[in-house]
Amino acid sequence: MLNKDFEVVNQDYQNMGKVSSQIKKMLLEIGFDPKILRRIAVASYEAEINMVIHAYGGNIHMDVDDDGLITLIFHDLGPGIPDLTKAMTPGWSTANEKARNLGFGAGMGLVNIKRVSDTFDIKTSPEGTILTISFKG
Amino acid sequence: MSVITYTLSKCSKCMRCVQACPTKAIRMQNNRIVIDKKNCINCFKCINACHHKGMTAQGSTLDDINSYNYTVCLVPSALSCHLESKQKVNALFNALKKLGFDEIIDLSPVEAAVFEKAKNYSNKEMYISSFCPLVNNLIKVKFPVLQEKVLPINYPSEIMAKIIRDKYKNEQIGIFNLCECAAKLALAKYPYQNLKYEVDHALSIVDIFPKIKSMMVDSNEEVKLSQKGLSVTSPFTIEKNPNILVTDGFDSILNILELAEFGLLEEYNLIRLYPCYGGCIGGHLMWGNAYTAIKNIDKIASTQDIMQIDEHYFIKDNDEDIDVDQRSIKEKIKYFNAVNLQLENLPGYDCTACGLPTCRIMAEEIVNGHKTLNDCQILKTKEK
Repeated sequence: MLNKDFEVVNQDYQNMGKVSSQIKKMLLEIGFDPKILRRIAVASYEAEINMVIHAYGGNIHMDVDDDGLITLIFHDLGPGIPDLTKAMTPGWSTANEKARNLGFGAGMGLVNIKRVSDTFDIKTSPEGTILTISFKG
Repeated sequence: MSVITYTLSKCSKCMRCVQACPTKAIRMQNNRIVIDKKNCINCFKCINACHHKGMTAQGSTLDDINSYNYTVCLVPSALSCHLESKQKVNALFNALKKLGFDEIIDLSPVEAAVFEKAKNYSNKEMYISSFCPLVNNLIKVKFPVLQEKVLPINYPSEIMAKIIRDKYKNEQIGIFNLCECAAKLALAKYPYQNLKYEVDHALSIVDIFPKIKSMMVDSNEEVKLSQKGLSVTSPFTIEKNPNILVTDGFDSILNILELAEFGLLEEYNLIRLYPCYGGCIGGHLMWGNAYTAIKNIDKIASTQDIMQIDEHYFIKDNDEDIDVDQRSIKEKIKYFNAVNLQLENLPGYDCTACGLPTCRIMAEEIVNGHKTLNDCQILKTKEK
């Protein structure tokens, strides 16, 4: 068993992607199959970016069980997603100008995360959003 | 497979090589440097870091020519680009003949063909060019996530060697490759016993150049170099294509590989990475600098040839084996947790004073039972 928590800071564009890097590095050190790591890297990066840009930061929890099931829980403090169906539509984005200038906010975030993960669950309310994804290693 | 040779008598035990190694393949053991052959990618960083010239990259010797009835010498574009005129190119090929080779083959049309092949490989997915052994090894050791993204196309020297082998089927021929960088010295049977390669001997240009310099006199024979092949050896001269991402320099390629791991470069079809500054022309074993050499390309090229090569020659079948970790996930996690527990006791400076490249590796060695906390020099000083 392995549990680890990471903090993501709101609008911290300078350190964006560092938690995903840490997660990827850690799973590589444990010795997971690189094929599954690529999917995890893509999903965790997208989700981390979402937290920084839209969701006022929050917490990422990683859980690895002894059978190799990797669960990532992204718990943010954001305003919630008003229309989840719209948010799951390719190309739909609410990213602000600062984020778009940095090349983010193409509206593929959640779509891509769902595409690469084995299970995908999202619960959203005005107090925040909890995204739970898992990968079978 | 490492091609780096260490000389104990020159070593001042300064640990600069240990700190410089990007794949943590170097450590100090029993007062001498030991290089992990599996993790060494022949990037030249340790050779550059050593102040005492204690690290070198060596190829085969010219004496090996005598072991064969017929010898062929391959000349890469990166070498040709360092010659200022067509006359000098002719003179170089002639000098190589005088040295004892029976046939001299210019690789530029093959290199052009390999690039065309890579360029047209996919228009849907992102792939990483496989022409550089250093990049291939770096991906294997540090970015295994991208392993499946490396093109399954063989090295130009290997493709040519296979074609030559088929041409002289029943004869005992020796194929020699002139290498412009340390990483390419590993792509031959000798001197490093990589028997899966078709090239017999890798020669270092550093060793050959002083010998042929005086032999380079004008020749009537004309060598026709392909402009297409010469230009793919540098990111500055390669064709501009919006679907191909090209970059040079070790730090820059690390950055790009990291982005590729996160799936952020999917808009490109091909990523072509040159770890040496200025491209292959900037190889560490070359006598000149890349930026001057680029100027020669238009002066020495005579054709636009792309060699027509049968499909099966491109196939890469000499990849180094990857060790499969047999432990179960449960065991792996247990080991990882044990290492993390030990890591908490260590200072975390990665100072290398213990001889190991990082505190994490020290923690692993403690868990493996090869070291104890007493081996940490920082903790030892604190106790006093």
